[in-house]
Formats: sequence, structure tokens, C-alpha cells
Amino acid sequence: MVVSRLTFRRSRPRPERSALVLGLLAASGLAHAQQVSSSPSAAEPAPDDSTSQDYAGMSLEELLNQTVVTASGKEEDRFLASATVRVVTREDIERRGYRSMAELLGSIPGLYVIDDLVMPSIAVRGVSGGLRAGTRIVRVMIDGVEVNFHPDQSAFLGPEYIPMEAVERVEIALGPLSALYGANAFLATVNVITRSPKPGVSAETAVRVTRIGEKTGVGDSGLVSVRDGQSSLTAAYVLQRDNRSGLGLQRTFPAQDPSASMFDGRSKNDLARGKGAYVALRSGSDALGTLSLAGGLQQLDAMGEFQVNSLLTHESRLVLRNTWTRATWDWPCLDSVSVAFSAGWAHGAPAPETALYLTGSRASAFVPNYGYSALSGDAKLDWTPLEALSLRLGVDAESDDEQILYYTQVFQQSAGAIQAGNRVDVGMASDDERSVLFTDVGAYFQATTTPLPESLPDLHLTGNVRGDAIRQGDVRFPLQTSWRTGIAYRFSEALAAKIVAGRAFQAPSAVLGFARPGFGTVGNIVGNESITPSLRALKPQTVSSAEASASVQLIEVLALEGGVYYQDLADPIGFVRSGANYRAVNREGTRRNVGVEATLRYAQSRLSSYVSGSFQQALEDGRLVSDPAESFPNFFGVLGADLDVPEAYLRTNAELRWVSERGASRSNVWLNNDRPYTLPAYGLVNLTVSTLGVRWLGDRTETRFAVGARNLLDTRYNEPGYGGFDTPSLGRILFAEARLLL
Amino acid sequence: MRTRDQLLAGATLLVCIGCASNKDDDAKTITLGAVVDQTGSAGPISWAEATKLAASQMNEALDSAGSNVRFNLVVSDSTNKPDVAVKRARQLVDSEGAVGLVVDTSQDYLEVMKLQYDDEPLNVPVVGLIASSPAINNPNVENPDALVQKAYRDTKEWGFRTTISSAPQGAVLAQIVLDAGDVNEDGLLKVSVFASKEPFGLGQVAAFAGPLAAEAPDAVVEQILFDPAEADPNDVEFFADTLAELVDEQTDGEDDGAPDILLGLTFPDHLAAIIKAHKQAKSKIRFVHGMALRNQKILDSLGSDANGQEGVSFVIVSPDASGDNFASDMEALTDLPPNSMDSSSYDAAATLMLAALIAAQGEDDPSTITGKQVREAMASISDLDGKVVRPGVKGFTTAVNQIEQGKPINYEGAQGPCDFDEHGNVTNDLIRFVITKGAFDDQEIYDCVSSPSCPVK
Repeated sequence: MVVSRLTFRRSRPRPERSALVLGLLAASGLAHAQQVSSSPSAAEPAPDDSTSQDYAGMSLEELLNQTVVTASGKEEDRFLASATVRVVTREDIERRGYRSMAELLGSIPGLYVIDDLVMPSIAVRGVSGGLRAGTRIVRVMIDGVEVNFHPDQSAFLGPEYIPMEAVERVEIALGPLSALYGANAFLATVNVITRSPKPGVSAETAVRVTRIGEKTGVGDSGLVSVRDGQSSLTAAYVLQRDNRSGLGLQRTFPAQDPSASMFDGRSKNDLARGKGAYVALRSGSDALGTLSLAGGLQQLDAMGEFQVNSLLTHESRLVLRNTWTRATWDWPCLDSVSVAFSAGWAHGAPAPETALYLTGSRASAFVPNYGYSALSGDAKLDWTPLEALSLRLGVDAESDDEQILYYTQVFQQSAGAIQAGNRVDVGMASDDERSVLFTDVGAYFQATTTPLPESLPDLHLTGNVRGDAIRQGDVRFPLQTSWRTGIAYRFSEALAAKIVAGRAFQAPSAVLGFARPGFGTVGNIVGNESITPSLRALKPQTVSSAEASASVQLIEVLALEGGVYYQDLADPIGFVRSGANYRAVNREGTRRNVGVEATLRYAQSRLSSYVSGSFQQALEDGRLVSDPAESFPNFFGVLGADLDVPEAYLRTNAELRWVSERGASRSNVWLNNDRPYTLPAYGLVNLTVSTLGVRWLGDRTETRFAVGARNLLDTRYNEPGYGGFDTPSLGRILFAEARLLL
Repeated sequence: MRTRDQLLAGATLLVCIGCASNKDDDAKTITLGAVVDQTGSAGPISWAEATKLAASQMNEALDSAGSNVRFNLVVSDSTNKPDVAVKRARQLVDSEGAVGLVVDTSQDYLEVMKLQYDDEPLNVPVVGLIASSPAINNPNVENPDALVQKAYRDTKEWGFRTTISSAPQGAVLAQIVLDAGDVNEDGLLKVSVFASKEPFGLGQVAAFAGPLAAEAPDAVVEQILFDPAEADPNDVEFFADTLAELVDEQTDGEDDGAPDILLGLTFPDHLAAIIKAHKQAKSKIRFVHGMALRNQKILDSLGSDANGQEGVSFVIVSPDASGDNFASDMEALTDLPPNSMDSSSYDAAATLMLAALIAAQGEDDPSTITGKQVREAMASISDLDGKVVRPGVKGFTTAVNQIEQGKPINYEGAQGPCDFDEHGNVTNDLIRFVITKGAFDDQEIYDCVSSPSCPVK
């Protein structure tokens, strides 16, 4: 446990209403100052918030006073944290019925999630990761530990990522955070904070039925936790099986071949069978600190009905397994000093069930060969030399054995001289390298201070600097330096403002650097290093950004929070066509964009409502560009309301989401004779009704029921795809869930 | 030094947006079209990029020379399907107002040229970038289809091409076969040919079979022809079965022994598929290919499976300053050395633009020139008495100044001299190469510019 003596005191009385008007100019706000006497690190679960058992969830006051850990690795007031941090609480998860990270993150202004029905991708503040983006421009963590499938640098965002029963809250820090976390905390950092068990034994289990179109899916999940003194055990699992069949492609741009047969078919057998498990064991004492061991298994399992080369085959199936484990020892060795050490191992690879088929051919299946085994470790020292100054020094290292992506062709039937069952590695000679060692050694320093504790006790400063030495096979990148600085000031209990600036980087993934083609003749991503003659090596892309935000409580029941940002990408990684495939390049020059994000929240008694949105535009030659960015809408807005009806044991959420046009992928713009086009705007209505406090089976057992609809009005829209088509969205999704809590 | 992004920016801003741009309010825009495969079985994307590079460099040259003329090159994807190419060619001329067209493969070129002899002729010059069939621009060709014969013979002289016909390639391939001889020592020289049943493939077969028959009349040439429109390169079963047929010991059902050598004369995607089948069948029979092997798509698709494959193609760039200029500009644009036929694509666009400038000289409004005027100027882009003009902004600036002064120019192109004969044909050098360690390794250059016998340089 990291001990910090840094305090943020409530030093000012609530201001008069007239003083609040100033805050409106700056935008909006939530957080209030809060005393922090001890700061759990970002790698530590949060105490179980049993208030979620009560109606009305969090009050506006509580929402305004949330604490977060992601921005600095330590617990701090959300608004004074040196990053724009959104929080999705356990209450939100339960009330809105979120079952996956993709669903949860899709509600956050500033992010945009596109689900290609295999591996969802996230774009951030007008920037997408390009082809098969996944989450490569976002760091996704569980209790501060990055958990993703390394070859793609992408986290599985389906239900398999972590059972939602194990999640206390999810923090989304927008903006660069490499200065704290290193590579890939690039445009945003998502941190899943797990629940810490309550004393004694507790358990919950749930079953659910999902209806997507005319197909029914089922799922179940559960959690068991035990806590005795300072020792605890948590185990959770989730199994989900959804059927997304029945979707077809629509014509979305003029140059699509009107006679192409791909528009005639409908998806069949389009199953998604995510599985996930999470286990955490913790034990500690006041003298020896806390030892924790956590780990998880994630299995992404999806039919790829809308994947390039494998369109509507009805049989292609991608199953990726990812396992991770982490041991951490936190030791408060002195009153003002604490240290923490951790070591981790992670492994991921396709499962044997994986078989990809080329459209129009069943003669052979293709199996992608890639994966990784990674060892990592870190050490950090927290020192609080003065009451108003806290320092952190850390080092971390990772050694990642990356298996290069190539394909094995497995013949299903005899053809010519080839016998059924033959396995042939495509495009690989016996002496070709099949793995590459990636290493990253980083060191960082962070200082947080209240420099004038007497005269300006609510002035909060943060500074970070970090260096990373990265090597990918024979490619050695220049030392990557990251920094972040922030200044936050609370003018009053109802008004606070901050300015944050920083620089982050993202290293190329193994797929972008080393992948081999071979699945069909077009549309593969070919690794930069596997192309002959040698190309300029890919190098990390960097982002420099600055943002200003403010928080204001307008009246007792109304709060506004918002900010503006500017970000500047240098050496941005984009894609160019290579033969009939694609490869990544660092584009010269920079990509700039600016944006505004704001949330207005009203909460009184049993009704809480919110409206939030983001608006961004690219900046070229000093002028705003109104055309939407690739795979990102210029405007994203959410209007929602939570209503509690305790007399009927009910709580509800209704939400309207509006998304403006998204720019097509560069790949499809090429195929449209270089003419940009957009996917039309759309609106969605989501509705969830759930029970709370129903105790039919005795005081110690609560039974909960939830029913809901996603996309209630069955709006049909398309999301940017590539390879000549855009991806159809799912229509209306209905679900019902029964849950027992012991 | 010109950077890749500067070039990209130039290509994007000047070409895609149409360069009717804001700089010169009184700019006169001449529209040209390019129907070039970008997603089909033939072309790498670099063919389209090369045409755009030519347009962006020409516009930069016009700007620096103070001219108010600009080119709007509209590039459309042929998909290497004749019906698509025809539709898009028609659209470029009728809707976009193109006064000249760049077209890609022989099959697309033939179908577009048929429009010239149809009820509603295009009436714009058509420049083929890889229209290599020996039948094209051949006044003596015979064909049972009258329209096809007209299109091939092209008596109206609308057709041009910036690459040599595949006839010399056929001669070189025949010599390779003869040099290899009776490899399996069964007393019979037998060649099995895998070719597409369309003008590009059939043209290469004819170009090869004639010289071989002349030197080895007893040699057996087994032809396995396929319809590229029906054969999906991903159809593993089809290509495995076809490969089995290629290497078997029969010809037309008669036992005559295994082939001594295999030839692949088709588009890159189908070539990659048959090479993959050859590899997977672990066949040891030597496989030699036509020009389509010299394509980045082959390397990308096959990886290490491409090692050891041999081929004959046109030179990648002309072995002189023109080729060097183009190669460095193309590499700056794409990060890669030029692909096969990139130089021909560039030359196709460049020759049309130079002809258009010559045609527009003296016109009050250059944007109103007609396709007929451009066609008539095509012969003037390569006046042997004119000042040598080479690819690149500098060369094009020289050309613009020369043309404005009414002086002749001699365009020495990126792939070859671009000296059109009376039928619109040109000559280029050939090259023999082997794929080694994932890269093209040039073995010999054949000088087809200086001599029709194409001696080794």
C-alpha cells in the first residue's frame, strides 16, 4: 500500500451563486476536494462499494467527489487529477446493464467504438488506429496492469475481457499518459478497477438471455469472494454465447461493384462465444505490506462473417486465448516511504479451433500463427518528504517473445497432388525467422505537490517524465521520452479548473512490423520488416497535447463539466497499399485536431439525468476541417436519465445516443477512386429496467432481474470497414437477466 | 529533396481535387482519364499512383512556368474486368469530359478500343500502359469478329501504347526453353503453359509458341488455358488440379511424358495462385513466367514461396537519366523501388499531357481542346529534332516552355523512348530475372530498342 501524505483540503466555504457564473465560461465540472490520507495505487482494487445496493446510487455530491487512481497511479480527487478522467461506476454498470467493455466504453464522449463483430476497435478524439485498429492507440489495464493480446496491441473488449461482476469501476483517462505508463498509453488509458471483497463470504451468479434480431443467445457469469482480515480471494467467470446471424452488406459508396455477389448474402452461424475468468488472491499485514496475486483468462471466440477475404463464409472462426498473471508486493517500509515490486507473465495465441476460410473456397482452411509470451517486472518507490510533496520513482521492463504472424494452410480435401489434412506454411521458408524479441526498459519520475499549502492550499501541481528504450528484433528505436504536467486549482467547492499538457508515444505492434501475408491474395497487413527490399523501419508515433477543463456546480442539483483540447500527432502511423495488401508507414508531417467535451448532470431525489457530448475537428493549415475523420464522428452526444422507483423495487435508465457522420476508412476511399465519403449519422435509444432490493429468498439473498433493449428502435447503420465494404451494425438487442446475490 | 509526403500532398491536392484550384482563378483545366486496375488481378496500386505522380509533376511544372493550364487526371479502377473498364472509360469521357484515356491491360484496352468503332465512338486517344498483345495496333491481324479486328487494327489511329508488345518476350522465353532442353531426358522437349484465355495471356502464348516452333518444330507445347473472370485466385482446389494437369505425363489425353519446363503467362494474382500450388505440390519442374511475375503483388502474396521463380519482363525503368529521375521520384512517393509497369503508367499519362499541351498551344481556351486534337499531337511529343524532355518537374517545365515557344520536344520516357511508330507502338528493353530471398534479382537485359532481335546487353 502506497502511503501519501498529500492532502487536498476543503478550505473554502460554498460560494454564493453569483460566483459560480464564472465557471460556466470555462465549461463544466464535477469533482470536489477530498481529503486523501492514503492512496491505493492504480494496481490495487477498490473497496467494495456496497452503496450500490441502495436506491438512487450515487448522489450528485458523491459523483462530484469521486476519487480516481489512473491519472497518477495513486488515489486522488478526480477533477484535480492531471488528466481528464471519466468514471463508469459499478452503479452505472448495473443500472445500464453493461456486459462488455465495448458496450461500456461506447458511452464515453471522446471515444468511439466500432464493432466489426470480431474485435472491436476504439478511436479517440478524432484519431483511429487504422486497419484492424483494435485498441492499439489505447492502453487497457486491469488494476494498472496492461492486459491485451500483444501481437495486435489490442485488448479483447467483449465480455471475455473480465467478468463484470469483478469490476468496481472503470476509469478512462483521456489524453497522453506514457509519462506514467510507458508505450501505448497514447491517446487514452482505460483502467478496470476490480472489487475488493467484503468481509466474509459473498457470491453472486447470473443467467441471461439475449435476443439479437431473430436469434437467441445465452450467458452466465458469477463471482465468489472471501475475505478474512487482510486476506481475500476473488474468483469470477463469464460465459456468453450470442448469435448475430442475419446481417447483410449494404452499398455504401459509389464505386462498389453493383453486381458483386457479396451484397446478396446474409450472415449465418455468426456466433460469438466469449469466455473470461478472473482470480485475485491478496494477503497482507501492517508490517510486511500486501502481497497480491491476480490473473485472468480471456478467450475471444467469434465467427468472422464480415472480415476481408473471409466475407460471409459462414465457417470462419477466430479463437484467441490470452492469459495473464501478476504478483505484486506493496510494502510501506517507512512512514514516508513505500516500495512496490511486481512481476508478471502473459501469453496469448490462437486456439486450435481457429480456422479461417477464403470466400468461395472450402478446399482449405487457414490458421494464423502468431502469439506471444511476455515477462515483465517493475519496481517503484514512493516518498513523501514533505506534507505537500509526493515523489514517485519507478523502473519497469518487459521482454516479449513475439511469434510472427504467418498462415498455415490446412487442406480439407484432396486437390491435385495435395492430400486432405496436409498442412502447408504459406510464404515461409524453413530458415525464415518465426519469432522476434521485443524489449522495453523504462524509468520514470513523478512529483505531485501543493506548492503553497498555506496561501493556496487548493493549488495542485503534477509533473512526470519518463524514458523508454525499446527494441524490436534488430530495430532499435531512439530513446522515447514522455512527459506530462498539470496544474489544477479549486477556486471554491463548486468551481475548479485545470490545465494539462503532455507527450506520449506508441510503438508499432508486432503485426505492423513483421506480419507475413498469405490469407488470400489481397487485404493482408504486411509487416514493414518483412517486405523486400528493406523499407524505412516503422518508428513510434507520438502525440503532444494540451487541454483545459473546468468543473462547476451550478446549483445544488446541477453540475457542468467540460474542457477543450488540442492534440498534435507526429510521425502518425497510417497505411498504404503494398501490392494488393497493406502496410503501415509513418506519415511525414503532423495531424492536428481540436475538440470540446462537456457533461451536464442533474440529480434530484429519484431522478438523475445527464447530457454529454464531444465535438472535434481536424486542424489543417490553421483552419478547421469540417469533414469527419476516418472512423470517427465530429459529434457524439448522449442524453440519458436514471429513475428510481423504490416502491416497486425498480431502477431504470433510458438513453438516447446521437452520432454524426463518420469518415470512411482510407482503404475504402482508395477503392472509391480516391473520393472521400462518409457513413450517415444515426441515433440509438437504449433502455434498461432492473430490480433492486428484492429479497424473496431471505434477508441474506437478493434476487435481481433486469430487462433491457439496445437500439430499441432497430436503427440500421454501417460503420467504416475496409477492403471494399463497410460493416453492418447489429439491430435491436433485447436481453433479460436474473441474478442471485448471496 | 522532394519528400514522399510532399509528393503525396501534391498528388492529392493537385490531382484529386482537380487542381482547378484556388491559386489561379483563371486556370484552364484539361481533363484526362485513367482506367487502371487497382483491385483486380493485374495491377498493383502503384500503377495508379504513377499516373497521379505524372499529373502532379506536370501541374507543378505548369505552375512554375507561369502557365494557366492545369490537368485534372481522374483515375478510375478498371478492376481488370473489361466490362467495368468499358463502363468507366465511357463515364470518364462522357461525364468527366476526358479528352484522353490511359487504359491498362490488353483485354481492357481491346474492349475500350472497340468503343472507337461502335455507334458512339469515344473519339479520344487511348494509351495502353500494359497493352502488350502482339495483335494490338497490328494492321495485319485477322480475327473472326469484325469489331475485334477493327479494334486491333485501329485504322482510325486512336490507340497508342507505352510498352513494347510481348513478341520479344516470347522470343526470349523460347530461347530459355531451348537452352534448358530435354531436362528429363525422355527424348521429347515438352513445355506446359499455363495461360489466361484473353488477349494478354493468348498474346504471350502466341509470341512464345512461334519462335519455339521455328527452332524446335518437334517440341510439344501443352496449353492449359483458363478464364480469368471465372477463376478465383483463392480457389485452391482449381489451381491444385490445374497444376496436376500441367505436370502430368499427358497432352490432350495422350501419354507423352512429363514436361521439361513450365511457363506461366497470365495475371499476377493467378500466377501467384499457380506458383503456390506448384510449391505445395513440391513439384521440381522449373517454372518460368512472363512479365506478370515482376510485380510486388507476387512478393507480397507469396513471401518465401516466391524464391526461385524466374521471369522475363519489360525493364522496370529505362537505363538512363529518364529512368533514374522517375525511379527516385517514385521511391520517394511509395518508399519502394518502382514496380513493373509503373514507368509505363507514368509515360502513358505524361505522353497524353504533353500532347494535350501541344494541342492547346495557340488556343484561346485550352480547356476546350478535343480528343481529336490530342490524338493528332501524340506524334509530336517525341520529335527527334526536339529538345530532350525527361520525367520530373524539371523536365516537364522544360517541355512547357518549349511548347509555349512553339519549339519541338523529344520526350524520353521513364520506361523507354516513347517514340511512337505509325501504328502507335513503341520499343523498350527486356529483362530476365530470378526471385531470390524475397527480391527480384536481375540477370540479363535485352536491348530491344536498338534491334528487333533484342541482343543481350
